[in-house]
Amino acid sequence: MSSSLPPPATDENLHLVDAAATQINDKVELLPGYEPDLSAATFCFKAEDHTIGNSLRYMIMKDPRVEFCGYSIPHPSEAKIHLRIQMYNGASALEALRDALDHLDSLLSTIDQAYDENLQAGDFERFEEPVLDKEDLARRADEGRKRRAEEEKSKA
Amino acid sequence: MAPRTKKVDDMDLDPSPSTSSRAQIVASSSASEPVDKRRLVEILPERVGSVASTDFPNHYPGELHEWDLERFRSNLKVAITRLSSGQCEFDLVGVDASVANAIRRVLMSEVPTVAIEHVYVWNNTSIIQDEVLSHRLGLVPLKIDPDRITMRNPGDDADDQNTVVFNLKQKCERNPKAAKGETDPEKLYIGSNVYSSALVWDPKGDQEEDLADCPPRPVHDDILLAKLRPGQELELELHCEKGIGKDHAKFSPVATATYRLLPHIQILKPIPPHLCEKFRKCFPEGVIGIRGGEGEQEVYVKDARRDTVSREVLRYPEFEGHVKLGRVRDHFLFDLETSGIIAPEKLLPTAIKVLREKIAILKSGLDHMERAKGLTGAGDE
Repeated sequence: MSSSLPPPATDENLHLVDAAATQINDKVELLPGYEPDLSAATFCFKAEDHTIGNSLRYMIMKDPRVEFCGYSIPHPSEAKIHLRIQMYNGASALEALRDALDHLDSLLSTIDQAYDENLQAGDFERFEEPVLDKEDLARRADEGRKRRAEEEKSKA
Repeated sequence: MAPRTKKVDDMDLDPSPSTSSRAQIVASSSASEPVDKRRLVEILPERVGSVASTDFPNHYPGELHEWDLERFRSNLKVAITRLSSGQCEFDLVGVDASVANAIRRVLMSEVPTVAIEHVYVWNNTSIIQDEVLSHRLGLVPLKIDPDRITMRNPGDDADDQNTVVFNLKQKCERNPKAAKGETDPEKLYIGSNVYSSALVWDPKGDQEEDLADCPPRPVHDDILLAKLRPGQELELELHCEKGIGKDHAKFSPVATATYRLLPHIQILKPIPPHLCEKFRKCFPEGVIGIRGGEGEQEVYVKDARRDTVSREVLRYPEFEGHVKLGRVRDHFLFDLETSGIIAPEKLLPTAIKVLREKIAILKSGLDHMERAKGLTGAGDE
């Protein structure tokens, strides 16, 4: 990943982790009422929205062990999403969530690769952006001004 | 391309994965070649049908639609169709709407760029108020590579790593050489128009060497910022910081990032020759073609990509049952227009990088939560 990512926060190195990373301490919360074996749980992601919410939900639903998956935004003014996962046969929702994050990452890297290959192949139409012809505009403005001056004279 | 009606499990995998050429993708999409009914969003006279994607496990009995990276890779097609210095159009086929939308959202609001954030007004005797001028300055796109500048967090001091400084100093004077009775302000006064070319970079600290290969400057030199008259003066110091579109739209690298779904036109029953012309006029020019001689004319789909799906054809009872309109649910026609800071062909890779970083942060957050709750290993509370 890029080097600008802060190091994962452990309890020991918390004082080294910079301001942006204190987000990580606060990022995911397990809402009360989860099953003891975590077969059903609601995760609360702070500072997230439909961008991650919907795509993560899609990837979790692709897991055959998942019985239910849905996300909601409790209030549009607060940047939080609630992601509910319920599993078949006592499987772990945490595991399904982690797998989905990995799959989403590999999906994105596959798209990146395919795009890059396509860009290198160079088989597409290249065109020039239309540029404003300033001289033509200036000339027309001058003509208009002359015409208006003549009209004024003829009226006067 | 044969119509796909087999079950997903034993579906033929495209023998040549995402290496299908742009020509092939464009040709098959223009001609509205038959696609699997499951991939179509139906556009009916009174409603839109089959909107949600159904490729989830347990949706169709006996079919497994679980996530399979290899199957995804072979179905994925990415093909750039048009590229210029300001715009990039490409086709993205085989991804779900949620992912395409995530890419679009990230492009508009979470790809970081550098823009003027703080304006220190030493002197402003112009008629433009300080705050109005500052607002306009913030919106000026600056050609600064965002990767070279770090984000300034609240509480950080401004240093040469997180801030770029510009100076704007212009004075307006009367032009002694102007003709008598001249009315054009450009000729009457010197320096009456303040353009973005007046922004002068003031390198601080190590910036002189670090940013030597791509010196910070506005993308366009001819953005009119303010108008002055003789005696009026502007002297400003501009501090630029890195930010994201979510914070303020000035940080958005795209003028706009949109996508539309590929329109799909199916001609179920042949159109009678005397109605061919009327049928053709129901669609934008170039969408429908007519071939054949006198009295034997038939209608065919020439270029469905040009269709704007106005559903005009659904208004006429004579075409009822002859045509079926729809959109292909997983074929996205992206159109990205850059504001000039990031090259258009680099927009998608940058968005994907940002999205992957978000996923990495989420994984770290999960790690932290697991440790905090003592869930690692045994998994009991």
